[in-house]
Amino acid sequence: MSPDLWMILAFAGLLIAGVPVAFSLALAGAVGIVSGLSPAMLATLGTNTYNSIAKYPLIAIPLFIMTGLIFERAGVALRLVRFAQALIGPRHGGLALVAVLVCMIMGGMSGSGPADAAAVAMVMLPSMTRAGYPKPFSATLIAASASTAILIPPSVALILYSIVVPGVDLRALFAAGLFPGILAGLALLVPALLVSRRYGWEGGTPVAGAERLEVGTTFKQALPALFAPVLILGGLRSGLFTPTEAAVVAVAYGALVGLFLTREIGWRDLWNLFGEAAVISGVVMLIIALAGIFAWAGTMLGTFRHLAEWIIGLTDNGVLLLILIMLAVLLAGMLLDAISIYLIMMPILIPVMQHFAWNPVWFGVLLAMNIAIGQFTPPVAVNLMVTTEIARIRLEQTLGWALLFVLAMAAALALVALFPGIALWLPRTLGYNA
Amino acid sequence: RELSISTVLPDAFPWGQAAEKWAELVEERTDGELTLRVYPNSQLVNGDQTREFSAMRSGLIDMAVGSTINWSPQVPELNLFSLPFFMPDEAAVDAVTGGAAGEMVFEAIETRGVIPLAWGENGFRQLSNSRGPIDSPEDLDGLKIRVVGSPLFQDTFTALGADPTQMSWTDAQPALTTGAVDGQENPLSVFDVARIDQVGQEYLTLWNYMNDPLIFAVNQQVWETLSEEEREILRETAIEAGQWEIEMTREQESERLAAIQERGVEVTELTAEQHGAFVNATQSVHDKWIPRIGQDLVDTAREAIEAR
Amino acid sequence: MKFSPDARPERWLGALALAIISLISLGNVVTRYVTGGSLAFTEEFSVFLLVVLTFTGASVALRRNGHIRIGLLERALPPGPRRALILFQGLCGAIVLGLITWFGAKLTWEEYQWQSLSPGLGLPQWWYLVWLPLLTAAMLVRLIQQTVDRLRGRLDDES
Ligand code: NA
Ligand code: NA
Repeated sequence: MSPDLWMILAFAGLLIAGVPVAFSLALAGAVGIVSGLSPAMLATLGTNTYNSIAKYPLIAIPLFIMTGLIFERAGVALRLVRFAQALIGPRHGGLALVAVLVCMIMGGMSGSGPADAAAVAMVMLPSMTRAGYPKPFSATLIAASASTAILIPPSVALILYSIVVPGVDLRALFAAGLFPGILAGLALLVPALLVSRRYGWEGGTPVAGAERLEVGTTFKQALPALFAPVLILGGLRSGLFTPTEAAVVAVAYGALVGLFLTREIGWRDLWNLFGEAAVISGVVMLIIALAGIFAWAGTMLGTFRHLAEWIIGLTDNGVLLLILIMLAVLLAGMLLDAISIYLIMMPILIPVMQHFAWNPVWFGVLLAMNIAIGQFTPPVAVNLMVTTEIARIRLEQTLGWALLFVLAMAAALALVALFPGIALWLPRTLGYNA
Repeated sequence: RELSISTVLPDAFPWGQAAEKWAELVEERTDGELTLRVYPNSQLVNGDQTREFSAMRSGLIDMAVGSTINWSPQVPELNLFSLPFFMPDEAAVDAVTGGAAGEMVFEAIETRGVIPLAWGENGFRQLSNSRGPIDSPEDLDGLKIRVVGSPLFQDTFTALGADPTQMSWTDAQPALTTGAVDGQENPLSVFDVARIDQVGQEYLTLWNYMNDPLIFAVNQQVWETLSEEEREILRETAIEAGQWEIEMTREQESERLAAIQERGVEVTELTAEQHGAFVNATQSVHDKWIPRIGQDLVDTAREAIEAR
Repeated sequence: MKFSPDARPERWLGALALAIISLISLGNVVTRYVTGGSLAFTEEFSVFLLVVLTFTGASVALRRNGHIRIGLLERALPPGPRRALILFQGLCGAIVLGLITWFGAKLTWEEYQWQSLSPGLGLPQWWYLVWLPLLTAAMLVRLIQQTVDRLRGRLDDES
């Protein structure tokens, strides 16, 4: 058997055996190195583990994770929910609409899905359940809407893409993610509203005992939260900040809002949040560190090159190939997290992308949409794991709803694939290279 | 047998072409017995070009066509080439690399477990930025400039009043695109091929502050496993590929400059007086770094330059 | 309340690393707008702190079995084979961490002997590198604690 095959089989076997993704990547890389190169080459486990993460642009990742956590704890989600509720009022599917909108706005502050999913689920699940929505539906809807966080800027996945694909402007990627992110949110909303109406969830009258919310007051309370995405996007757009700077300014702004405006966090909490953000970042960054070993072995063994050549050789039809790639990523998204997918697939897909002259910004956004879908497809579904835990239901109960929302978001993905302008119009209008 | 060659730049650049040429010649002369596979973008060290030498020394990389700048964290003698305004022209570069000083540099590399075979050239490094034309050290005041490889650059740019930041080429590309840095310094070939003007670097100053030679080298353990004949082939092909690349780089210099100007970049050439201001401003860097490089080596190089 | 063990020294160090990264980056933004310059030299520290953050954060997550993985198989298995699977998972993690600790230490030792300097500030490279084997060794300890807890049934498997 060829070392390539040993490496890939080892990776698959270790994943199935429940070994953490990061360790599976490193160990599979080691298997490839021992079977195809020489045991002395295992020295790369020292050098490349360090080199893979000692990169300045990666600093934005823990910072955007911290931003998401701060805004979550600062009580911002609750204020957004109240404002959205005041705007929309009680109607069939009203709370479903609120949940999706709030997830999208929260996505404009944080770089990854799970924190948003947790924040919105915590605030909305009780009231949605009271209004008659079944828990599995609400949990799945929130998990799916929160996945737009990796499309709506800032996005940890797009930061990584800009590092893996040299020469792609992160600001262009961020801008390109905005409309597909909104489109994905809307796509989720359509079936959610139809289903709510069909089953008559949430009547046209307010739930007994619910307070009356006024648009004006709730807007004032939500204003600091609504300003955060404006600060991040506006700062990037005006050239005031680089992405890393935007991230740290967002952290500082969130800390100010939480400490002095909503006063829901104290200095002690802030310190604890740094610790929590470090742990979440540690999980993400360890994958980046150890995927470096896998990538090194795959490069030295020529695995990625062979796979890319094989893919290109499959067909001359770029459209067909794009569909195949999207299906493959969708499949991978069931088992793997966003970061691993980018790190494993990109070395293979970059040559394919270049061969067919696909726009790298557009392609990056397509991948991100696809990976966002993966965040709520079982068995490995980070967002869904968070929301089902808060709802105290089993992941299996959400399968049917998950399928519905996967189809909805896949439709949005297909639209962006068919009309690249949805992604590329904004970055081009803003004058970025896209 | 297949050996790996690491380079920082791919074959769109003379640097990558040098490695490809080497691989081509070796394949031809050994009738395919020995193949060299080029791994560009420092991918074997995950993009961190300053760790290339260490990785080659420890055997993770078999061979490399590397820049003296990137290897200087491990071989301090290589800072010789980075001394600001030390080598005024191409003849001076040839006098240093082709003479006794060049041999001393090669010995310094060899004592560190790597066999150097031949010289190439990345070219004289010029300064670009996104803010405005630079013709005096004052213009550099507060500009954030990307550098790589050695703290010597930190000192050079600090002496000029700029704000240097150390970054690998992989990190530098996003940093330039997003405006995280104001300026950078690279040879014209790199500026031209990488289209650095497209990311807002619209002002270019031709100041020839240093030349950036390339070195073709092999890890010592790998070298020892090769037959006498293979070693001879590797050495002669490296020398040929190096000479071919040096000539090409120098020949293309003027067309590159024309192409860059055509794309709307404002090019500043320095008068002797303006040039002198830069030389004076960086004198302290020589005082600090000559002892670290080795007085002997610097003197030998200086004699070669004066006798060119 | 679910049993969720902590790794306090690592958590503390991780929080500190991220707090310093934030302060340095914020300091850079402020300096740039106040004086027009920046503290670019600090970027070497930030990148190093990112490495510390990674392995300390990963260590805390490892202690409570919080790394991303597929838990489908072990949930499907009866207790006996399941214990064997937990041992196997622990062993795989131990091999990876053992290899990184060993080769990280070797790398640090080599760079110490070769007197390599950091490219930005010219500090001895091993000052930075030594944290890699130290922290992966700490992760190895946490992995053993976690595996023991899981074998004794004290730590729930979430995936
Ligand atoms: Na986001
Ligand atoms: Na999934």
